[in-house]
Amino acid sequence: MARPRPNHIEDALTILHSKQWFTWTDSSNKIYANLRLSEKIGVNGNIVDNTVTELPTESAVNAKLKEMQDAWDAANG
Amino acid sequence: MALSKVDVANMLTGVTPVANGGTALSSGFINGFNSAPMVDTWIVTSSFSGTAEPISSNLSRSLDDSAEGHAQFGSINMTQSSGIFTFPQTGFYLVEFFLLIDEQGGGADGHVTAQIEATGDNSSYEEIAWAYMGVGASDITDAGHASAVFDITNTTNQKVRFAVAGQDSSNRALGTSDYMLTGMRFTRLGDT
Repeated sequence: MARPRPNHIEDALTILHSKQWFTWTDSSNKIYANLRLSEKIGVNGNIVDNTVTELPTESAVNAKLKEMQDAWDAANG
Repeated sequence: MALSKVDVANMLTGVTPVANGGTALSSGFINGFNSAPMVDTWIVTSSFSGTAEPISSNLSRSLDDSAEGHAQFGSINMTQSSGIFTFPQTGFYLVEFFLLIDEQGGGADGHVTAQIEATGDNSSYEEIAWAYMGVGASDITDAGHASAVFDITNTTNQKVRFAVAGQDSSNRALGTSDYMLTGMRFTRLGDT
């Protein structure tokens, strides 16, 4: 079964960086305005400072999502 | 000669347990009695790619959906900070970890593990249970379930956490706040 078409900015966020680098102020309302950097991430058994120190801009997130959608459309007709 | 009747008045000695209010014994308890039953479910509310060793954020207690009968159970529950879970009181607990992974462009990924890790000194963690998963070259998901039983005798020093290891940085573990895709369940089985 093919993966569903990417339709949410979280799809793009998980591509931009790996690990649990982002969080939400309201996880039931995942909009860019509620996006935050995680303070800590788990790496090799330790909880350390997040290596991602700057949020991507909203336009960069949207551009990545559109890139993913275009790729999905090309692959799925 | 087979006995068809027992002369209770003359043949029994000692004290038989006495019912307490008709619902519980005042003596004669057996190990495993559960004075505080609990089922507490937590979910990972956001997806992430690669590993989380341990999972340290985006954790939430699963909300009740009372109309459908979906609920937590018991008057006690787990607490967590940065992904480290503390038991509410001593006892035997069944701990379960559910993980759903998704190939997202990283290609075949054959050794993703869902791990339950525990500490006895509130410092050093050991892997207690693993579940292996794998995804194919494209567009495949897989699910894993790891579980372990713990005898918690010290709630200050005995804690658990959960990890996703071995996953390609382009593939992801799936999470949402709407329902459980990846999450943990804690069931108190009985007194220690």
